[in-house]
Amino acid sequence: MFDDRSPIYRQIADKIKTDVLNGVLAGDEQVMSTNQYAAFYRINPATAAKAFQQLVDEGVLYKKRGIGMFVSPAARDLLREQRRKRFFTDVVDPMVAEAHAIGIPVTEIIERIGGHAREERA
Amino acid sequence: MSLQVEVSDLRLTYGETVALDGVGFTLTGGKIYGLLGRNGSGKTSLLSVLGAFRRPGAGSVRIGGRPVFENAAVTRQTCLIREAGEASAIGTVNDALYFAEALRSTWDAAYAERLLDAFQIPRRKNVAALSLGKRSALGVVLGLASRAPVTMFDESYLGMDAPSRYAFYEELLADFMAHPRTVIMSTHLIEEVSSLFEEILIIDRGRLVLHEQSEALRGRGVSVTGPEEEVGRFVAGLTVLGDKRLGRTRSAMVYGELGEERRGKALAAGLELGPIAIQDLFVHLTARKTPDAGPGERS
Amino acid sequence: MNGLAAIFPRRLLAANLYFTLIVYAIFVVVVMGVAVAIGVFGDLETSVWERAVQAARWYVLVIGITVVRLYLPVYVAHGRTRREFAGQAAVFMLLFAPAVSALTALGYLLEGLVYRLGGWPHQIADRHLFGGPGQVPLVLAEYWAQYLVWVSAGALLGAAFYRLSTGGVLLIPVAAVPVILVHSATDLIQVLPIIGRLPTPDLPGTTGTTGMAITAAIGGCALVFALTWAFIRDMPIRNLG
Repeated sequence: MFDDRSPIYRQIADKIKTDVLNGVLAGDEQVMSTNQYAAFYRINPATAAKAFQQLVDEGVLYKKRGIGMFVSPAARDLLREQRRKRFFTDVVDPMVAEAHAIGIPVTEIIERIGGHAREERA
Repeated sequence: MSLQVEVSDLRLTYGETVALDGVGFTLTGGKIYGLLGRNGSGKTSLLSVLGAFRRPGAGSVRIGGRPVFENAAVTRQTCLIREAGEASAIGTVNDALYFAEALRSTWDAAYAERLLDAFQIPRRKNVAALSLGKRSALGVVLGLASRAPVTMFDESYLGMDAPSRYAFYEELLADFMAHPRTVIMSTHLIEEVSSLFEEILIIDRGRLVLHEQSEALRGRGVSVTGPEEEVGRFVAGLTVLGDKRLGRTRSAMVYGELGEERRGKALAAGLELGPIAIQDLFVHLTARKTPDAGPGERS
Repeated sequence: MNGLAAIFPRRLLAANLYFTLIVYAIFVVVVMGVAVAIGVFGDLETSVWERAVQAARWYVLVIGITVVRLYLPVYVAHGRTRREFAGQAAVFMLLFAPAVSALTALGYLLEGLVYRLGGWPHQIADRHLFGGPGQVPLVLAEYWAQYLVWVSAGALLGAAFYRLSTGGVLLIPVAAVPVILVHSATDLIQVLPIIGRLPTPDLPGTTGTTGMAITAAIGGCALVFALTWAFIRDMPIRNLG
């Protein structure tokens, strides 16, 4: 479930975003209500509501009055774009730093990635 | 409508023992509050005053703007549940419900029946003969079915096994969502229940240590780990709750949010930053040997 | 929730009278059984009920204790004030005493039937307000007066022990005063001869000691209720464990 080490609403938002990225939640699909979410994960409904509000603010979800929350049609592209931007700072840069610390030259990494690229083309 | 709970400068003593020493806070109501504290910290004393079980020694306790003690208009709307809801000696489970129904104007008998089934409490058995877990569960039934606008549970999970505890949390949430009210739960099983709370109050040695949104609290603690001197330099001027050392490595628990700039500095200095769980924060905030006074937050 | 409905302790009465009736039924059967056994195997010359029913005052005392000890916390836990509880408990006791005295009188009548069937003389052995078990109004008056002071003494002791723990023993002599006064008027005149000589209101159709018993019961009960209220009015509900 959720841990107590970071705000639960952020963990919920991340979970929903991952579901959108993976296609588990499609565009214009309805998501669970705040109360359903709270009951399912045994969390305070205000916490669930906060997560949903954040996702609405970010354009991942939209609200239909009196019906519920839905995934924005553009949500997946939006999230992919964000993650793409973060990919280099979150994944590549730490990898290079780690390689540097343990003495792997960058050329060797490039070589390795080149191998993956050839596989992808094949 | 939710009732505001205002406590100011509350003191309570038992003979020579000071149980509450100037406690003050305001709860806006309509939320689930967690009251955390070690054994003997004053949780029960505080709830006893809120529930009109005891007269405040000094200071004031108001619910909905009115004093609580011996005030029928207020006590009608409050319900404090300790083990078995004080019904341990009056007879069977049915007897306990018989009086609850008569005395509580907001009593929901059908809901009580459903809860008795959910917790598998035998109706014809003597309350005193029930196991501690079942007595606690009966207390939960009396508290939930009271539908009191301010319902307080004082460690109401004692002796309950894990499935019963989870059933309690689920019933509490479901009922809270269907019939919003103010719920105050005292506990030291923090990890298990903290996700239920919207706000958390921590008391220690009769004093309020902290009153905070639980979500804010979850991002509030940071552990800083690295070489001793680097950590020492980094945490200078910050509130350090605790320290661990392993050889020349030091891990300091810092209370308070670090800005982006500080985080960047930490990374540049080769320090590792990690989150701290509410449970750990609680342990450190209420540790017996605190050199500095802690964050000392009041609201 | 105003007026009689607010103060009438319907469930307190129902719960306690239900339990009392069960105890009473068993008690009557046992006592009558003993009486018949004595009549058949020995000499039965006086009322057995007269002796056996002395246990009832202790039962009434215990009910008085439990009313405070068990029900005050329940009332407070269910959102009632101590004042509301005290009102209901007082009405309960004022009704419980005559109810048990009626059961006591009924016991004499039932016993009278048994004695008649067995051909035994149905008469009393001790000193009472009444001269014989058939004088129902005087039987009722005597036991009502006794039970009223016993049940209120129970309430005072229940409150005192709940509040002071073992320190409650200090209140035993206080609670005993009205009890001794009433019994002096009803059956202990030999022990406290002065009571018999005190000028007392002569109620129509009663003796001087009946008036004394009634006066002592009402006065003693009022005094004990007032003392009990002093303990209850800001009584802390005890912490558990």
